[in-house]
Amino acid sequence: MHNSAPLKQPEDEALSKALANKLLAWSLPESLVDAVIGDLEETYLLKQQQGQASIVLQYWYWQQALNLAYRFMPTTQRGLIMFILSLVVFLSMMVFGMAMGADVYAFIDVPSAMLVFPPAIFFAIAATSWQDFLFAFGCVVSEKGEFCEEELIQSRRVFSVLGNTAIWCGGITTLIGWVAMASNIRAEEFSSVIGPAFAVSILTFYYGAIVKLICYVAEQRIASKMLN
Amino acid sequence: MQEKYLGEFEQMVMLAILKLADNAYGVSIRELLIDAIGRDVSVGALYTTLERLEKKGLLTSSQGEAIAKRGGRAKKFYAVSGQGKQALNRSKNALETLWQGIQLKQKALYA
Repeated sequence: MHNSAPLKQPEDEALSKALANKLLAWSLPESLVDAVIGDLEETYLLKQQQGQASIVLQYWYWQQALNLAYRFMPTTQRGLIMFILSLVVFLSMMVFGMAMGADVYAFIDVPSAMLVFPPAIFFAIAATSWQDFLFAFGCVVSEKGEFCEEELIQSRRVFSVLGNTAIWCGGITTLIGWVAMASNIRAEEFSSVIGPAFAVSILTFYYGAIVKLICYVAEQRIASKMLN
Repeated sequence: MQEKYLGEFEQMVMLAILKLADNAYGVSIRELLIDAIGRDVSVGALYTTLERLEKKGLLTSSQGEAIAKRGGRAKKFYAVSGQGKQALNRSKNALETLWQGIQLKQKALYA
């Protein structure tokens, strides 16, 4: 007969298990969370009392946790998986389109990105709050129905402000770029300068449109949660 | 009503629950399957089957009390419902009917 008193666990062991338990709490149906984690804890303790090495036990615990997450996620996190898949497909198609049309590096410009992303995030936080901003992302990735209507409305507002601000910032900075181009360009260098300058100036609008599209999908995901 | 047929693992789990009577929960079911038939199933495989059987109405479940050695988590006890017992009987009868007149020689196992 084995001793049923829990053994003292080292800190890193407890942390590793806590992480695995978080994954389980996220991926399992609510009705199973306690039963499954309890079963894993009980079996872990039994194996520990049988003298199995800590590393073996950690490996076993994570193996079981990942197996459970893999089996239950398609049902409990279906919406999130579809959201991530749609983003991956969209980004892959975008990169494919960029690679087919021109050099991919032609679409990457750090100053243009700095003119769109930080202001959009800043405006979204200013219009709501830092807590609401972080909460909105949690609301999109969580599949469990623990959010009240007010929280969903606020989260939807975060994505609405973020998307709209991004596209407005992109549009305005594109116009600024055109004004700068028009006021500085001379007739003799027109044909050699206009192409690259125009391409760079329109990148901000492009970045803004991408953010808007992703925010639109996130908004619709929250809207469907409100209907449910 | 359409008859419910059970898979091999489903039958094993339900029979284990019947054997364990009032003490049928995740850990005890896994232990019994290891001891009785030497099948070490993952916790994931067991719980997906238990969930499926419960959704089909072949199992019922009840929550136990929180226990310290389980990290303060409660056990979930399972029992076979009337429908479940009927389904088990049907599967047993079907297998017995099909096995009638068949005798496998030991050699045939290695053929």
